[in-house]
Amino acid sequence: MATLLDIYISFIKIGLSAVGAGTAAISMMYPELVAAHPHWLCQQELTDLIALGSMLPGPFLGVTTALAGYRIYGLAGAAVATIGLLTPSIILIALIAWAVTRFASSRPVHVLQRAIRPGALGLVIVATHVLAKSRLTDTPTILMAVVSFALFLWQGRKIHPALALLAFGLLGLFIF
Amino acid sequence: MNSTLQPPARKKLRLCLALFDSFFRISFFSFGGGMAMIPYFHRELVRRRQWLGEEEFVDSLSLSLAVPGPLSSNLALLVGRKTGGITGAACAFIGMISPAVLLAVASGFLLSRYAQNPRVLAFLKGAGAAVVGLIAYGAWLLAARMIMPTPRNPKAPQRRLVHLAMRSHAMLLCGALVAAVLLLHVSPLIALAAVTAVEILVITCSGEEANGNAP
Repeated sequence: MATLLDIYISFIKIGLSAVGAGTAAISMMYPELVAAHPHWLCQQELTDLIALGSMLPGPFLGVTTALAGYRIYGLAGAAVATIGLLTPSIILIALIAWAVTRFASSRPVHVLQRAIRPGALGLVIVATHVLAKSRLTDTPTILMAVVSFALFLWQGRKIHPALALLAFGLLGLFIF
Repeated sequence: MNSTLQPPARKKLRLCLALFDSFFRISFFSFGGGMAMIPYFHRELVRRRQWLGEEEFVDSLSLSLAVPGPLSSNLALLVGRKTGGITGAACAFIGMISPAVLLAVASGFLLSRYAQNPRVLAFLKGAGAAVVGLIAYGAWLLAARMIMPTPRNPKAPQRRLVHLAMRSHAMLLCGALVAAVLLLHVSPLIALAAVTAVEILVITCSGEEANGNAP
């Protein structure tokens, strides 16, 4: 039980650090899951879990969290870790949704909603860069990323993203 | 069972099922994390279900990015709440997170066995490269809607230019955040707070209409 509570608290901290992208939360996983609790995971195990999480479909941070929780304390660990990761998000969104509905017509809420936009776009660009650095390792991958971006710009409204990714995966079978 | 329900209750049930269905499919078929889901969200929430307008989409997405926690579950809670109240939020949220848990548990058995298979690795390498293009497209979707809130309005090209000039400080701030995080290794949270504070000042001082680009 004590372990489950520790897992819960650790993943609350990781969830709180997840502003903008999962990548920010990843940097919080090492101090929490390896340094503070050496008997949970070793550095290599965590790196493997993160790599596995980024390969799987589904929300990357949620999948990695469930994987880490599962490795630490089985199915109960996976459930508790996921709940911990999402606890700050649920509370804050409930408060914000209430405030936005309650003060929807007030000027400060409008100003704040518009003022977040440039920073939010910046976070998406940062995430693109971080992912590009880890995924685009040689000329074929760089070319494929450019072609997929051009394809989405050109026909993004018609093509389902999952189908496009499947096609590029199959293309990968021939190239790599 | 369903036929005994009152019409409003049936409508609500249908909405909740639709919310669950949409977010489950977005979550299950996406690949590469919350940021790579932006095009999926736009496709499903704005164009297919029309739960959000273009402006609401940018607002909800920005808010989800700024609030701690995974982008995808934040957005599920916001959209569910907006369209179906507390029950709607719960349905969208469960739809979004259940694939994560299911896939993580299933992969404990499956992918750890096949992760060394060269064919699996080649497939993932190709799909992983395309995800970069997908995230860049998501950034483009957001940027296009921030610079030009009324896309494809051929009547007023000069208004577009004026708007572009008005929003150029926003692009500068966006670039400042990218530089601060990538080059100076500033924490994203601090950079976001700083950039947002400057933008609040700009909006307040310029007296720009806070709701000037409502549809």
